[in-house]
Amino acid sequence: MNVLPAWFVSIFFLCTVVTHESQASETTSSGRQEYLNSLISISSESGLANKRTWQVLLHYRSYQFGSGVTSEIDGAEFFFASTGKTNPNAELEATLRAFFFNKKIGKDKLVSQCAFPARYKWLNSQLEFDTRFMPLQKCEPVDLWLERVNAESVSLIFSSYYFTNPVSMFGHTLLRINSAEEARSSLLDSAINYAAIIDDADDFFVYAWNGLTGNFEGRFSVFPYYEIVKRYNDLENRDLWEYQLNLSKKQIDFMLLHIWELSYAKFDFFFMRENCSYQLLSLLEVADPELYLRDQYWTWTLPTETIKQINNQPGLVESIVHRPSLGSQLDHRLTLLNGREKDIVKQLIDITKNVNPAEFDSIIASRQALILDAAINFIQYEISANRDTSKDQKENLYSLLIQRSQLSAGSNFNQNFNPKTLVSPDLGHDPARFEISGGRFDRGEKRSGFDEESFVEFSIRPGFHDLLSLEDGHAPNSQINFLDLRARYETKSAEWQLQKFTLLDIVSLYPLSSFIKEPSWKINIGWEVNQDNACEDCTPFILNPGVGLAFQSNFHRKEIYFAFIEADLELDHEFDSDYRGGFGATVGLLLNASDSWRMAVTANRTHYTVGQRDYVSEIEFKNRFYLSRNLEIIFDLKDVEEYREAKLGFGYYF
Amino acid sequence: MGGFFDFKYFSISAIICLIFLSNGRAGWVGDVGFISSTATISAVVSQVAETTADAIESNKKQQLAFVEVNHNNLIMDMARGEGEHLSALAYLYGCPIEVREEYAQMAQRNFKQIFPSYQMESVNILSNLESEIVKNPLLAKECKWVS
Repeated sequence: MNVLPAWFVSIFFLCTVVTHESQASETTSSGRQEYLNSLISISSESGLANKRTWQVLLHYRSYQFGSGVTSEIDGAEFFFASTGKTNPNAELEATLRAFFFNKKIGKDKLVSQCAFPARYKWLNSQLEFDTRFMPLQKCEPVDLWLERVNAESVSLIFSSYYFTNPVSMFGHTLLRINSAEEARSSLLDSAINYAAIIDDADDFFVYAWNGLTGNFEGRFSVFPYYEIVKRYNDLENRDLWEYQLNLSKKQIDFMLLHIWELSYAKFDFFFMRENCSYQLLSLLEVADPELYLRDQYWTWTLPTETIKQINNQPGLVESIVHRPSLGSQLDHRLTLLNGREKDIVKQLIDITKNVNPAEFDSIIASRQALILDAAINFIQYEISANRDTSKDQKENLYSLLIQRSQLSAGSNFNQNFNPKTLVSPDLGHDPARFEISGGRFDRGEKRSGFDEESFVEFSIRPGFHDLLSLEDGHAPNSQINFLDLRARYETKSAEWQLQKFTLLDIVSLYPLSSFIKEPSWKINIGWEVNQDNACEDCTPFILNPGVGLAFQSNFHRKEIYFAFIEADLELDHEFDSDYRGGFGATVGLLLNASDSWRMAVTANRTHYTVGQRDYVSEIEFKNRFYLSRNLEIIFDLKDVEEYREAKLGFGYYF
Repeated sequence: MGGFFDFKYFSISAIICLIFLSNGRAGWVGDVGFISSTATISAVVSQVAETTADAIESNKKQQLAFVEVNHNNLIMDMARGEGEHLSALAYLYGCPIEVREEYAQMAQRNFKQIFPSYQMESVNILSNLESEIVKNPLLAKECKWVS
């Protein structure tokens, strides 16, 4: 929107500077200086620096505690004014001066109009620069950048959860600029990624510290999208979700000009809030300044939350495309095979076995193609995961590929790709959870039912997902909880008691199949009240890692059976020697009783062999009845040695 | 509640968390450290500027870069005679959409000539593929970035 029409600028200029002079005299140095002064004066009077577009171009953000704004860009090179990081007016004035005097920027010595083309474009749209005083510079590199990207639309890409890496457990987001050229594959499009620059020499403590405290330098970068697909889909086995956004060509080009400007921007990378997903929001705000996307994030920015936020903007998401990982492709291919065909796949991938040629030849060509594709997919999956990179297996793969090349039949791979299980991440439950529940418990050797004492319990956690949460849009059979705080008010003793404070509680169940054999694992770190009478009213610090196996059946809907071997270390002054440690085992069943009812039964036995020695047995039965995506009814039963408890309540995700 | 705020236990837990979060350097890098000096915006543009003068040379570089990264997907697509990666490579050869099916079938028919073994240098894969494109009159005529 042009807020200051050309006639206004002209009149102002004419009145104050050169009312009766010729055009030649207007371009004298004093005339140019007067013109610059008039631009600065007009922009100041009209409050251009406070306009939303200027605020987003400079990544300013105001904070609740404190006046004014601060830019989230930290490098000095991005600002023309020494106070530009906190003073939008000074930065705007300095920018006008830089454009006016063609200040050279960066090691490439680009003139400022070309180094900051989005700023120039917007200021020109507001002030309508007189090219006699401020000639338009030819910006060949910028034109090349736009030509190379050749944008028609933009997709926000969500890379799903990656349990092998703690940093990637919550997913990742990036942008893809979709080319206008119809003949071109999206694999060749450009991906815009925000990441930290890592020094290979740093040790892991430095990584952890820098990630949490903003000591990494964050930068935007550009990749061919096929590199992203290779990394996430193939090497890390993560599904990609592509949200095509409804932005106009004008908005996209303006965003691209700003991305160009970000070549000169350096950020402090914070793992928690100012991370990849947060910074991508700032790009979308530049494309459409009417979008207020960053304002809701104060403590941390979860990639899934930004996806939901984008999806909730009316009309912003045009379409959602799922790009399956190698593992998801394999899962799908196997679902298309019958038992006999799966057996042939097993023989094909086993280099010690031979397939009966007569049996294979008796199968119609399209099914042969499907079988061979599944076998090739499996071996490629194993090679990508570095599980089987033997020369023999690669030779086996090559012979299967030759066999496949001799079949012209297609395998109808895309037919009904997992239609029932595909739920996009924007449809998952919200990350934080509040619970209120009440119940009764008894403790002691004399068991007289659940009548000894009542309690009311409150729990709150900022994230993220547990085994009994609805799985739609989340990694199946998994749990990631952090900073889960649970407190209880016991009515008889009229006392509050801390039940639990979890630092991190992760469970990852990988059901074994004939093809995929990955171990399940878990780790729980935090404080939890002791219920087996090993110490009185104590809340020991607990470290409880485990490794195990899981199996899946589909008798009813989906049943997951699991077993873990665990280590358990508990620290508390109330224990003999201040601690106890040992080993144990857990077995359990997790099942979907209906679309809205999930339940789990677990039994655990731990033998504490060091410190305070003991045997402890525990059985739990948990139920979640879902009234909506974010609201659940809880019904749990628990038996730990001489302690029994029943609990009923509500859980709400927000 | 004994020991809950004990500094010793807090320190132990903090160290354990840091070790877990770090998970070795390679583990920590994850989605955080995915950048290289050649991926900055100005570097990408510089590459374009260098190669735009010679369009064929520019396409050769792009073909090579694509095959280097996508060997596994390409070998699968060529064996199947279809696929997105194969189509993307056809684009880099300047083959119009109308001849992509012929291109894919040609790649499948000549799979053994293009991939005489599983592990091959990318430059040899491209050379073999180009030899087969040239032998096909339709593709030789339509695919404009074949030297």
